[in-house]
Amino acid sequence: MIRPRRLLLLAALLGTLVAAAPALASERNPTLQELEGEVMCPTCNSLLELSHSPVSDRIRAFILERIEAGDTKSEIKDALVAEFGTRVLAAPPTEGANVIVWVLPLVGALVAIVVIGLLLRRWSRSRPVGQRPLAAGDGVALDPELDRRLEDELRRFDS
Amino acid sequence: MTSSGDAQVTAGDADDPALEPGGEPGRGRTVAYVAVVALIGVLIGLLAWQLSSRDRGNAIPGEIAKGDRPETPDFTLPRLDGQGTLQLSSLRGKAVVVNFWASWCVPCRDEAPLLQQAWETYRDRGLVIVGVDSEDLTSDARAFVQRYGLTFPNVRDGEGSVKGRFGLVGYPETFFVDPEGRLVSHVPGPVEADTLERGIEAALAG
Repeated sequence: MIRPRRLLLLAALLGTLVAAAPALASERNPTLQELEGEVMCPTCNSLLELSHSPVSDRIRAFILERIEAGDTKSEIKDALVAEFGTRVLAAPPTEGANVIVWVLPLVGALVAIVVIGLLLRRWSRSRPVGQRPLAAGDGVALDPELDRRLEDELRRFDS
Repeated sequence: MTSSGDAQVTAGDADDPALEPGGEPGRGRTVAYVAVVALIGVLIGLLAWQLSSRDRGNAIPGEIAKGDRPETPDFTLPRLDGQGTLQLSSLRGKAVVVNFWASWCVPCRDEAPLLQQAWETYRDRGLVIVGVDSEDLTSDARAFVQRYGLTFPNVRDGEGSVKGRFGLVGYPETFFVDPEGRLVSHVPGPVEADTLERGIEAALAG
């Protein structure tokens, strides 16, 4: 009998394989359609799939030739980068100075979270008692009239 | 007199690790502020540098049109025939025609024979024509050179990295450089026989 932990591990492994299968198939047998969504037109700075410039038509023909020659998606992209530089890729590669493009938004988001957190903390602490939610130990007495009404409501609720 | 921020310090602030006992901002918070300000400063600097370098290139055609003679931006690019590289400034002392083209550009096909003819006519007078094939496939560019029988040097700028330095807005564009390396004339769009001749004579005259 298979132990539950092993069964879970097996399921996770199968799940990973199922998820990775389309990516592997796409890498080995790329289509023009998917590459058009990952490659830029160098003269108009828009995706190839949106461009009908003369150079885009030539790039499409180039991609089709390479697909027919049996190249993988990575090989086709590498060949395009050799021709036009990395700006031909819709997503810049995660190496060299391009790392900044990927890291900077994350750093910005982290800084924003920290700054907002600090500000919220500061504001919540600087609010005078009475303007913030009462916490245990604040020791603030209720208005006698309000206290009486609250007691009445609680009694009615109990009965 | 204390600031309103200081006046609001309550007992709860004593637990704030970012504040030191005297209510002064902690060292950690100061460092964080300095880091954020420095990051913003670097980003603004990068933006300014990017804008200023772009403006330098964009200004060149305007300066030539005004009659100024701006210095020609230098470049070193691989030759299309695969025979090493060519540095533009190495041609100092000669008049140079720098022609930006691409094989997919229709007007470039029309002017290619004119450029070849000019090369054959003027090379003995010290003129060099340099073709800069930009944003093009190498195989297409080589086929273009062969088709039109171009024998003047052609270099390859697949990334289009040089065009910004000259303020190019399209293809073809042609710049005329005097023997001192100064730009004397510019033709946006295809050259015709007379504009080509005038530009070449101006470059040779220096």
